[in-house]
Amino acid sequence: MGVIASSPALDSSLRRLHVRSRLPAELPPSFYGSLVRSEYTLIVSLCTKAPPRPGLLASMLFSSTGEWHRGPVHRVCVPVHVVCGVAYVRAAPTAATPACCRLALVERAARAGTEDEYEEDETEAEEEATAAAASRGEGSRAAEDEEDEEDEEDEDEDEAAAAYGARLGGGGSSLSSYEVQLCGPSGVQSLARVQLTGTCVRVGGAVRGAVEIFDASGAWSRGGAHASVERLEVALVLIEQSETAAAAGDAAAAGSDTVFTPMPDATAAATASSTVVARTFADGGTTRRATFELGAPVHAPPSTALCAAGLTVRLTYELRITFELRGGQPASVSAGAAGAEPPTSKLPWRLPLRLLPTRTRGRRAAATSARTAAASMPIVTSEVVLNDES
Amino acid sequence: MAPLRVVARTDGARVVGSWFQASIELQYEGSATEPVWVDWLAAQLCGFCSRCDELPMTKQVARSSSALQDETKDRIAGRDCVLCSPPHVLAANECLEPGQTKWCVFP
Repeated sequence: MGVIASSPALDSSLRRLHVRSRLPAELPPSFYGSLVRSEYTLIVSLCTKAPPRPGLLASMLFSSTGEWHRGPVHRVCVPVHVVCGVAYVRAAPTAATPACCRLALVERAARAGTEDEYEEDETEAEEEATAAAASRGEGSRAAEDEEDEEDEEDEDEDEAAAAYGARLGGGGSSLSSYEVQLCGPSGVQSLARVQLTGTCVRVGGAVRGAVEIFDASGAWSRGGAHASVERLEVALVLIEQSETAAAAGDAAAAGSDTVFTPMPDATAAATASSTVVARTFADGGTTRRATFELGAPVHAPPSTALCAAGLTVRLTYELRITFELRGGQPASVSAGAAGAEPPTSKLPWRLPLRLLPTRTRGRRAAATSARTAAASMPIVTSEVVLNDES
Repeated sequence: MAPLRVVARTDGARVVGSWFQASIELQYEGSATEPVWVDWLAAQLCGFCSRCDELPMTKQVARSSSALQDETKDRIAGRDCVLCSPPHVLAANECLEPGQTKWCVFP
């Protein structure tokens, strides 16, 4: 670092330095889980300095050669949440080379960005992505196939979504239907039917479906007593499941597929979203069918696998419908105080779901909404206090 | 004692393949009597996958040196680097007068 003799004052109102960077496409999504974290940050570092000071005391405290005194490096870490816009393919643990991007400095007029400017950026981004895909040639065949597959999934999802409004009420054939059964001493009894528009949903999209209780009277026999569905809760649950290297190695040696071992201490679940769809099933059978729409949060990671320091964690989702039943307990339990409310019990029903990355137009929309929400940008502030020596 | 604030802002979510956006602001308090010299101001975008039983990302390695260093070069157990940008110097050898603000914007 050279010694600056003059003081080049900045006209900060006219000079704004714009630095831009495009995030690579092959990045794992931001995820803050119980087993692994995938996180991004902008690290801003600042180092200040103080000029050499004349005088005997200063010459004793500072270098007598006229060198500037530099202070310590102060850092500000700004978290950046990355949404996975395209399918993320986990790299092999041995080939852990990080993706690279470069911050570029462009000096512009000091004005806020307009939508036109951003649209131009997005178009440029898509053109670059297309050119990069073309340059990959044969090597990108698998990726293209995957994109085609996703397009087909898009179409299926669109068709299902279009059919939702028309057919969900009538139980059309395009819906996936599942029967929920109770197994008890008196045999297997049907409890409800669950209908879904599909088992794949986009990040930022919604899981749509309906639950229909079979018994017309609102009660059925369970364990010798009558039970009724009093409450239904639907939740989208994110599950972290570790893949042990040992299990994977054993599976590879045996020539089978990779084994995912759910261990009690290596599996964690978090509710991504939930809703109560019905509370009135016990009210004389007035409500026998309820529809629900459960949002997949835009910040949620899609179904994928993350690898951190040799630990591979698979992120999966399940739709969890909890039937809260009243009554139906064994006589020794239910015969409590006379007139007391019959006990309740919860029956969870699970269905694996696949959360897909946002599609292209969704990605564009997400980027636009992120920009328009600039006024509510989270602010990370660090205060650096300079002392006399700095 | 004259506070020099570093204020960094970024919008909520970024989508892979899109532009990253952030702004950095240097605020030098107006009640100060002397200018402050910025030796260098740098920014670096990093991404890490780490096991939760290891150090969180925000806990950086303590440094005694005043030289600009690449944050992704630190080998920390239980942490893999998935994204790195070379450290970019935004300003160097600049003087901030009391009450002055310097902007750096990542559009």
